[in-house]
Amino acid sequence: MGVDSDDEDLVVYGTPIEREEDTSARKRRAVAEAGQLRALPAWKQEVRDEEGRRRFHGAFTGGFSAGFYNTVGSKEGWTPQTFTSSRKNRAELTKQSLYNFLDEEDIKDMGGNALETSQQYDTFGFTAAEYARKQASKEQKERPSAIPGPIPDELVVPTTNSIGVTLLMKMGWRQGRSIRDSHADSLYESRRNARKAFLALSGAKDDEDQDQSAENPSLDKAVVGSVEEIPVSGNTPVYVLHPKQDFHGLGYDPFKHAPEFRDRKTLQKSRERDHKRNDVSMRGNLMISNSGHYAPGFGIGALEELDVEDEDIYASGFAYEQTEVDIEPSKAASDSNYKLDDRKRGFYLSFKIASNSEYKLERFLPPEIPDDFDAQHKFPTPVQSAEKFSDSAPLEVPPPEDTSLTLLIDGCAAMVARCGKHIEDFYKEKSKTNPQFLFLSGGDGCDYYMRKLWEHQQKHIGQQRHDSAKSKTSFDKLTAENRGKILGERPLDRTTKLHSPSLSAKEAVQLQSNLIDTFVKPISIDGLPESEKPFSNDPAKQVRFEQFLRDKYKGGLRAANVTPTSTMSEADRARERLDFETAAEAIEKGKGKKVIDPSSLFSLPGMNEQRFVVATQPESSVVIQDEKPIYPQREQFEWRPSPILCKRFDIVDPFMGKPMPVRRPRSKMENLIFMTESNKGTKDEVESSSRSSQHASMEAAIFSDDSDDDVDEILSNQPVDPVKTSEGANMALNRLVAEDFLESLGKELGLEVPPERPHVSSKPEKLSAAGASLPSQDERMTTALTKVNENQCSIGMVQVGNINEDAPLASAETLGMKYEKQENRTEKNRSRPMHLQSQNHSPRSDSSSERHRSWKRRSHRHIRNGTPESESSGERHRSRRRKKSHSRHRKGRSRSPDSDTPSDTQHERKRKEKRHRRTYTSDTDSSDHEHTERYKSSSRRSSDKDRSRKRNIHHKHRRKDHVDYS
Amino acid sequence: MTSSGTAAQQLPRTEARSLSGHEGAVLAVRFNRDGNYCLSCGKDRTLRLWNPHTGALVKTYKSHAREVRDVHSSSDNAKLVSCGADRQIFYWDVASARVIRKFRGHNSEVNSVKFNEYNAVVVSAGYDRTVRAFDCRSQSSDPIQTIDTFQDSVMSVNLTKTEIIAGSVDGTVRAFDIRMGRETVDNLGHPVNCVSLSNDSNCLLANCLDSTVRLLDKSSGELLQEYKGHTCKSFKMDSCLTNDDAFVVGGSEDGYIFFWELVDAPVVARFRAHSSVVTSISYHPTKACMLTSSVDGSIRVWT
Repeated sequence: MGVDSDDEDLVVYGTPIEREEDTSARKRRAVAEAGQLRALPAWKQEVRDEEGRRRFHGAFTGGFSAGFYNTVGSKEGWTPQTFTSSRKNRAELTKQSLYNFLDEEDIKDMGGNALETSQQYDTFGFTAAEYARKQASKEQKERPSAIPGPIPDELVVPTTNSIGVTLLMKMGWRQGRSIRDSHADSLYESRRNARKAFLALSGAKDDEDQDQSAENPSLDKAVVGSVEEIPVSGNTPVYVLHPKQDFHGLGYDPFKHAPEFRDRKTLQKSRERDHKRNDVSMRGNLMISNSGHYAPGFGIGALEELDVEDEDIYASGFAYEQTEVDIEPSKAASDSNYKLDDRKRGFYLSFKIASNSEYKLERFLPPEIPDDFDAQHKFPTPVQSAEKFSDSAPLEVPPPEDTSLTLLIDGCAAMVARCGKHIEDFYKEKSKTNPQFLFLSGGDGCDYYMRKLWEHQQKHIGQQRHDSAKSKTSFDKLTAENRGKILGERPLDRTTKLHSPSLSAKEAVQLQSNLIDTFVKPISIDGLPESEKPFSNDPAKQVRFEQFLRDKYKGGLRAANVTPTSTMSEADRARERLDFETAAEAIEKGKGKKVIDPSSLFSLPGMNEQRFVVATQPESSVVIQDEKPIYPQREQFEWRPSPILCKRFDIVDPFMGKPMPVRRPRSKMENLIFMTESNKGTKDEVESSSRSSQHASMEAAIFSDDSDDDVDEILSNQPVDPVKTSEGANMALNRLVAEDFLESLGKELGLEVPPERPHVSSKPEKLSAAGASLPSQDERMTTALTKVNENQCSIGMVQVGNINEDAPLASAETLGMKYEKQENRTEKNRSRPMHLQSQNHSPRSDSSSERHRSWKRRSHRHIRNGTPESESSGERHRSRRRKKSHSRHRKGRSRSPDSDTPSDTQHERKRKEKRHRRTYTSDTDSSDHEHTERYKSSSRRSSDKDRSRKRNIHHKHRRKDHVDYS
Repeated sequence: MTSSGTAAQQLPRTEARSLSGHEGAVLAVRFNRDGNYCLSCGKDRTLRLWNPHTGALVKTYKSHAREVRDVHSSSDNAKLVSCGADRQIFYWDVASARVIRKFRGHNSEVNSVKFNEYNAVVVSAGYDRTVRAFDCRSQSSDPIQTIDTFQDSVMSVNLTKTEIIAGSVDGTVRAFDIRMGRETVDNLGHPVNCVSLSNDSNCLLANCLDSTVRLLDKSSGELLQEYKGHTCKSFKMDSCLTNDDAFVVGGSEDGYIFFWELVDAPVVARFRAHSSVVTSISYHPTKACMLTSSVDGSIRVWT
């Protein structure tokens, strides 16, 4: 089963849950086989018991349950006789005797010859004793005695000595002596004799016993003899020298490594015995004290015999103990009492806890949880609200002298305030080396930047001008006036006075718009009260603002040239637009908040952040048609159910037969993660663009179709060195997308993004970098040109839908899967906030968010388009041809002065954006347009490494071009 | 309003009986398909099959090693599937109370489990941020599909004929349309505890941890209504629609049961059902009968 193979790879701890199937497998098999057996002919069937064992055997092989549990025929059991036909060879008659059926005992009983030890080698005399007994019983049988029954053993004594005794006697041993080395020295001998004498003196009875035991024949003597010198006070022979008296397990020696304790123990025991004996006589005491004196420290166990060398002649050792013993009360004390007493007196060497132990248990502290960790799931707020807005405003700082820098700082601050802190970080990281951006990291203009940022944030957050926001710290008590201020309301008298003239016109507008979207949700300007006219002090501006709002929320056809307000410079217009955006957002938020209980709003001092969070609440009534509500948000992705799942759900697999698609990133942001160093590009862009910023006409770029000479966003090719690896190409792609994003940022800031000069010689290399192994360079390119020239147009048309997809296919097929996985993850983790942000901020529908969205749409379409195409064969071939066609395009493009082509594409792009906004412009040139779009994106697929290297050269070119423009 | 008023009168509010037997919290209670029986499971690691109309305990199923979090019976009443904190999904034979199979694959606790229409697939949602589908017809215990797009624990899973719909703590309700091959993500902005479907399968009811039950249009993702008033902040609690789709039923952490009118979202009824958190609610498929279970170890039948 699959599980088992799984388990082999795993490290398992704990008791596995037992599977029922496995436990009774045999039983099941039996059941299953039973079913099969029934199908078999009768003579093939086998009878088995409920455990699946074979139970019946044939008549010739044992019969029912042959032998003891089927032992017949096995090694242990007997082998049944095999049948042999008596026709040809008669089975020989085996002669069976009675002995075949008798075991040894029976034979012995019958008086046969049993195998036994010969008397000569009867070591212990057992056989002799047995023999004697038998003889006696035989005799008794022959002539019955007065006492019936068998003769008691004690009376029957063997008449011969065992071989051991015989040998010993031959060696000089005599009955009654111990078996010892004969070299025992005189001291020992004399002591022994003395002891014997003492014993004799102590009692005749003892002596008699001794003698008796000495007279005892062989066995007893042999045992006792060795122990003889140990005093025996009783008259029973000591068989067990050291009876077990403790409660330890058998063979366990608690004093194995600490013999000194054993000494203590024996001493203590002997002392105990002393006390018992003290009452009886003094003799034992003497004896024991005598034997108790031995030198400490030498490994003498309780089981070892005391030898001469061990005895302490000087008897210095533990004499004091003796005295103690004397002092002690003679009453019998329990063991535990003794121990207690001993411990009290410190007899035992006791243990105590060491002050510093070397052994340390290794413990690991639990992982430290950061203080700001919140166990709740965090949801990305529209703007990183984690960002702290300082309560106190930074000091007002005069702008730096350099006006371009001022402009840059301004734009940057606005950007950061709008998009969140990560943009700042992003800029900071990307432009570390750029002196222009030093203000981000505390260089020149830092203070001004901080101030500007704060201002923008205030503007962004609040519904009032930043100067009035200063009073927001005193919100302790909420009055109607305060609330009005917070919500951006103006005092009543002033509004009525100021706005009465414009009211009727506005109402007309409202009516119109109401008529337009009856049955749709109310749009924002409907609910716009007079009080929420942020630019009321500038009527012209207010009008423009209203127009802006209309455009923004209404959709529909838009006048081609909305506001080429002649008096305003492009930069002013851009800035005003930003203002409008913030104002519109503020109004919207204010409206959202009115529905919410205000008390929850103002209870906290950190009100600004609070406001952000609350504003994310879904307000279905304020849902604006153009924009998605903040929550719930709906996103759709492709998902591949497994074929088997489809089958089980009884559904036709929607992806049947289609290969796994290589998934493309769904947003630009996720690519930024992979980006390593496209910093230089950013830097140069911004640098140059800041110079030529008066060119930038964002509004024109966004609202009008006919402004051709504005932001040139086309990034054309760069000279590159051949990139060898496909990874490089992949990287390049990522960077390109990132750069696209940067470019859009720049555009949003009202800055011009300089075009990049096409470079003829670079293209084939780039393409080769994109994956194939076109050897190189110009001549290759030219051949490609000539070859593909005639039909490449159509090819280009067909294949454009696929370009973005094919690049990684061609270049990094091997990386594909890995890459995809990574992308998915990162997208999940990183880009979602960005999506969110873009959606929330999309009031400025032409800003980066819109571009994001359109980009996303594009990518989705790619997936749709790309999948069927990638099915078709000859993928590689085609992609190569495509490359050629691109190279040709590029070539053509590079030849032409970039004033026309880029503007053309720009034009196209704008149109496309319009289409995305569901403004129904004509679609006649859509394919063409798409073509250019794709072409652009694909042409950007170059390696940035080299680009940045050569950037300086191009920079000059660009400058020149800008001059030309102006 | 009068019709809904009379309908509100008929809401199950009186306690018919209490099914006692579980030791410790009851984590889920579910009617079977025809509403004649019900299944409950809880912290005592057992599943119990009851007849809620008589109060009889029919059978007890023991095999789980840890708490059982969800149970579902097949439409033919022959099989059960249950899941729990022991990371396994047990596929039971109802009659013999024996485990037919154990599906493995989840790396963590399994929160929710469901049979599909044809009882051929078991789909489970787990704390390991995945939804997994297991094949009941094969011998393999490995998942046939793993969906790992969630960013946090998946709390609840529901199936239609063509879709797998799961709600997660990451605030999303994701519908995986097998027929279209599309994943639809509805981000609600608050952890989703329980996802249930209206009986016409056009609406999604998502119980969120901000003490709000949200009703979404399944096809458009539009937020149709929000139901508030109860407390649901930290427990996995069920909410569902009545069998006529006229009311929304939800439990509260203080032991109350709330009935909301579907369209306008006022609380039409509210009563205390349990002494502690109401963990699960199951509404009878045809009759005005409801089961509630609670942390206090009781299952109550309301008519």
